[in-house]
Amino acid sequence: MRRLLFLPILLFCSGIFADQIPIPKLTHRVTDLTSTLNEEEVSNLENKLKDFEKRKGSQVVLVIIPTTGEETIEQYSIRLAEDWKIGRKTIADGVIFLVAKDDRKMRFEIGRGLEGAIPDVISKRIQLEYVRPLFKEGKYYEGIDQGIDKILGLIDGEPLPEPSSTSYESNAAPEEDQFGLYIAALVVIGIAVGFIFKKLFSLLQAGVATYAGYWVGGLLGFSLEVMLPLLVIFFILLCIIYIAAKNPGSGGGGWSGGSWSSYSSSDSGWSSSSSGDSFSGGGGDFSGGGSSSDW
Amino acid sequence: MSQGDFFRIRKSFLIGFAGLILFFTNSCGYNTIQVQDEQVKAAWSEVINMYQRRADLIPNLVNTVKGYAAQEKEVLIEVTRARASVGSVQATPEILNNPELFAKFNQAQGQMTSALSRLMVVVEKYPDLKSDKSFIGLQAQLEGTENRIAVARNRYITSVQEYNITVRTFPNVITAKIFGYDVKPNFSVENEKEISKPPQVQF
Repeated sequence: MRRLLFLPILLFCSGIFADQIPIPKLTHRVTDLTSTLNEEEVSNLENKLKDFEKRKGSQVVLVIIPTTGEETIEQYSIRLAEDWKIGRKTIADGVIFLVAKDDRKMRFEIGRGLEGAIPDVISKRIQLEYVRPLFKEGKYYEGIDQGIDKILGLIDGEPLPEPSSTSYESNAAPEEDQFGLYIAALVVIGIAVGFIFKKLFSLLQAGVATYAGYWVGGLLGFSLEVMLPLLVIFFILLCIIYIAAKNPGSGGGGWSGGSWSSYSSSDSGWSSSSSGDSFSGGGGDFSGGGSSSDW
Repeated sequence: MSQGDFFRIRKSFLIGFAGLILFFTNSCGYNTIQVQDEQVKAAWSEVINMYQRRADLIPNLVNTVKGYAAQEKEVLIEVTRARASVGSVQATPEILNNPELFAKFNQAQGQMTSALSRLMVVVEKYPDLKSDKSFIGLQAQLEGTENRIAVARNRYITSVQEYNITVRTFPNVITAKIFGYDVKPNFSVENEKEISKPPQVQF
C-alpha cells in the first residue's frame, strides 16, 4: 500500500523510463502480438504448455512482440517477468520465451528456481543450434516449437515439487473475509481488555485496546491508512461501551455492527480471479537468468 | 490520598507509558525502517553475489583468449589487473554506511566492466577464438552474468530509494535520527550507464 504511493516517485527517480513499450496483459500462455502464428499453431503450443504445467507444475509462456523499443531485450524481458510473475511462488520455476520479431532478437528468461536446470550456456546453445537456424529461414513456428520442446525437456529432468491439483489458485483469502476477521479481532480484544483492566480509567483502557487492535491489524497485513478511520470509530465505541458498563441500567451492549461493513478496504485489492480458462502467473521470481540471441 | 489511590495512579501511569513507547515504535516508522534496512542489505548481497560470479569467470575467460590471442597482452593484463583491484575492495554490507568505500567499490567494478568490453572487442579479430566451444560457453555465461548484475543493481537502487524515502519523511526522520539510521548511498548515474550495459558484441 505504502509502496504503491511511492511508485510514481520511484518511477520518476529512476530516469530510465523514457519511452517504454507497455507490457501486454497476461491472459494466455501464448501471446502473439505480431500475428506470426496462425490459430492452429497457437492452440498447439498452448495445449503443449498447458499439459506440461498440469504434469510438472512449471509455467512456460511464449511472447512474440514486434519490438522492445528503446530498451534492450533484457530490460524489457525482466520488466515483463516482474509484472507477470510466471512460475510457482517460492519454487520460481517459470520460463518466458520472448521473441522481438522486428528487432530479430529472442530471449529465454529463466526463473530463479530453474537456473540450475537451464544454465545460461545451455539456453544459449538451444537458441544458437535449434531456434536460430529455423528463424533465419523464416520458419518461426518450427523454431519456437523446437525451442520450447528443448526447454520443457530440461525442466522435465529437474526434480520439482508436485503440481497442486488446482494449478493457479490465488493464495490470498477473499478480502471480505479478512476484513470481517479483523473487525472481530478488534471487538474481541477491545472487550477482553476492557473487562480485564476494569481497574483502570476509561480513556487509557480504550487507548490500549485500540493499540492492541492496531497491532493485530498490522499482523494481518493491514496498513495504517486503511485502519485509521476504523480505529477512531473503534476507540469511540470502546469509550461508549465502557461508560455503558460503568453505568448499569443504561442498556450496554446494544450496538449494531451494520454500519461497519460499509468500510471496505478497497485499496488493498490485488486479488486475481482464477476462473475458467484464464491464465495467470503463480508468483515466481526472476533475477535476470537466461540468454539472448539474434538471428 | 490513600495508598491504594497512589498505587492505582502509579500503575496507570506505568501502563500508559508502556503504551506510549509501543505506539511510538510502531507508528513512527521504527519497524518500517528495520524491514527496509534488511531489504537493502539483501539487495546489496545479491549485487555482490553477481559481481563475484563475474569475477569467478574471468580467469577461465582470460586463459581461453590467451590460447588464441596471446599477443593481445595489453588487454589481457588490464583485465587481470582489474580483477585484482575488484578483489581488494571488501564488499561487506558495512560499506553501505561508508560512501567513500562504496564509491571505490563501484569504481573498481566499473574498470572491470570496461576492461571486459575492450577484451570482447579484441576478440572480434580472431574468428577461430569466436567459434571455440568453450569460448562460446564463457561468453554466454558472461552475458548472463552481466544481465544479472544489471538486474541486481536495479533492485538495489529501488530498495535504497524506498529506504531513503522512509528515513527522510516525517515522522520517521525523528526515529531514524534517534537510532542513527542514515540515508544509504546509491549508484551514481554516469556509472549506471556505463555498467548496466552488457559488453556489446558486433557481428
